[in-house]
Amino acid sequence: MTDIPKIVYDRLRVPPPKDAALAGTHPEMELLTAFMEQALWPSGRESILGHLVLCEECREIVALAMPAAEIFDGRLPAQEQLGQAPVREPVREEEEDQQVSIPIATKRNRWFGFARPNLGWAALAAGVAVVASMLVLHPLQQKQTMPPTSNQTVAANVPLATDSQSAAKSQQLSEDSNRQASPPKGSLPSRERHVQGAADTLVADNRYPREESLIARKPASPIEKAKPALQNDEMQATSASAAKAFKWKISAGVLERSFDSGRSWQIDLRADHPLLCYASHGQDIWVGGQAGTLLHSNDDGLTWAQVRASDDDSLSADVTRIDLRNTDVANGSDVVTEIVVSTGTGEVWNSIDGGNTWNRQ
Amino acid sequence: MPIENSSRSTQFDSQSSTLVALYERSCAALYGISSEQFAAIVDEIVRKNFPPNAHAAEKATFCASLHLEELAVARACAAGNERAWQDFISRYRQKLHRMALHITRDATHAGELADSLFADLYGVNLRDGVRTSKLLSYTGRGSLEGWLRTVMAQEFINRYRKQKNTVSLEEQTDEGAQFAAPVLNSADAPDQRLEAATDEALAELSSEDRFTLAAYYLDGRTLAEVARMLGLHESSVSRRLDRVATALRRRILAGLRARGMSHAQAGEALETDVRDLRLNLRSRLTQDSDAKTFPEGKDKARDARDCGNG
Repeated sequence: MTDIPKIVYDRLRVPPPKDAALAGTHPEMELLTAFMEQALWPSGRESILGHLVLCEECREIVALAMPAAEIFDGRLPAQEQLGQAPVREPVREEEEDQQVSIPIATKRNRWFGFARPNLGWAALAAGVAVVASMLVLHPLQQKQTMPPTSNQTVAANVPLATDSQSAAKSQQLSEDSNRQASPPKGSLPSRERHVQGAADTLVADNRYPREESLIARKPASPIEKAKPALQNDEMQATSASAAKAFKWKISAGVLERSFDSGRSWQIDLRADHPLLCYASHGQDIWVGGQAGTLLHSNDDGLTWAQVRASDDDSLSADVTRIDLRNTDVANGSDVVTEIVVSTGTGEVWNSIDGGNTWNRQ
Repeated sequence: MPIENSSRSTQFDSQSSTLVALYERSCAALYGISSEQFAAIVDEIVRKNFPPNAHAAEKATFCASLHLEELAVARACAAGNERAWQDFISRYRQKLHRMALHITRDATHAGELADSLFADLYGVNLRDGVRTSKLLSYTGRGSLEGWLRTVMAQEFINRYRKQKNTVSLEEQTDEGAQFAAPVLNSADAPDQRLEAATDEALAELSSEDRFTLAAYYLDGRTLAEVARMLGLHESSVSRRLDRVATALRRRILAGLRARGMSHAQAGEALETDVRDLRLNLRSRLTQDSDAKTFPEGKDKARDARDCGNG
């Protein structure tokens, strides 16, 4: 590391008189937050940086308010919101490498909405170009390489491809927000699975600490992990634990998914009632929510099925915890043999046949 | 959905469908916020951020990028909506404590800090007899959780400063960090030309470069911390620091020669300084680089200056 001359140090510390006004005008806390979350437009970011250079106190606030790597909640660096990701030098560097994997990545990204890039403007443009060329030149090939799913999903996802693509091309947030607000009835966009009706917001967060303990992770700087993890995720369906960390989370009553180890998140599943908890193992994900909501996916979140624990709606309390148990560890198997669902009212339900039948304990 | 007061919210007259979509997405109805009230809130925020003649599409994009749902919760809480408070508490109460612990690194103070902030948010404080909540100042530009952390960090710094008020003032004048240039012995006073050339060179850097320098060298943050603040790789930060330091040296030398120094003189003017600073950095690097509490930071700066004078 090159040192800086002491004179530089001195002159850095003492703002020149002409900058006194800028030094004395502290930005709103919100702007500092937006700065930290990389949510400022370039001009806004410039002016915040300009102040931060001169103001030790605000730099201190930023340093203190940065989330610790361990409780990184995936808002850094790029937001999933279009129009907000400023182009930054290192993201560009990464993207050059990642372009190699994009042709494979688009297969995944199509389902979950390439319209919500987590790679920034440059990657978006590059990715759109690649996607466009792929879809235009090899439409048949695309269909054949789709993962084996039910007919319904296959049909639904083809229109989604163009949907995402056009959304990505135009990069219009209003389009995006409309999609989110009222997903097309009848189709089953995997981007955000909307199970019957509008979603309630809220009440999920006591799951947060559980999430941390459930997932064993070694938090190396999540930013560094992003690149290799992205390739892992895209290329291998069954991810290693490195990719499992920062993959799923419950936030504000919906299930969110990250494809880049927590750098950015996309909504994956909403239901009638707020979702409260989840448990995953390999490609299996179980999600529980208020009012007995129980959903299951066995293809890593691509498709979802509602799970009815009983015919008579007797599971109607809030599902607050799901445990996946392997009672067969001794034999070296890595399969979930029991699913245990707990409710806020203290009920415990379990299934030992993969969720087909349930018993209340 | 017709909006009666749309004449006031001129931003969305022609795009009321946008507003409807935003309103739906925010789920504000859940918290007893009508679409008119919501429109007024959004309107106020847009006004704060855009000149009146700004392009409508730009404003629409901006609005859609806001954390609408969190904005709705925050404003509903500020208005005293019970449902909103239930949600806020279940989502953030525990987090507040965790944040406080992270910031204060001290369990007892963490509790105080979290509770005090919560009281502020709840609107325990009266202003002109009116209960007012800090949540009113949240406008959805960053995440609510991030905002809470930032506000809490600010609160922590203010509190700490208040406690050490007299000492910190003395420290400040001592170091001259804020009020005057540091007092140096005449023998150590840098050449005016050196100062001028350095100021020139610094002014040519981008804000981000200067911020990186300040965070790393002045505040003593680690590469990882600086990287997180800027949303970069550690390695990028490291490369940038190298690049900037090299460029600075080059430009200062050029500036000095332009001011009449010979190549040798210019080199010497810089070389001596570098040796001094290396000493400082080494001592700083061996310390805990968590420059959190104020005395630590001030001590480092003071040490640096003392070493320079010594």
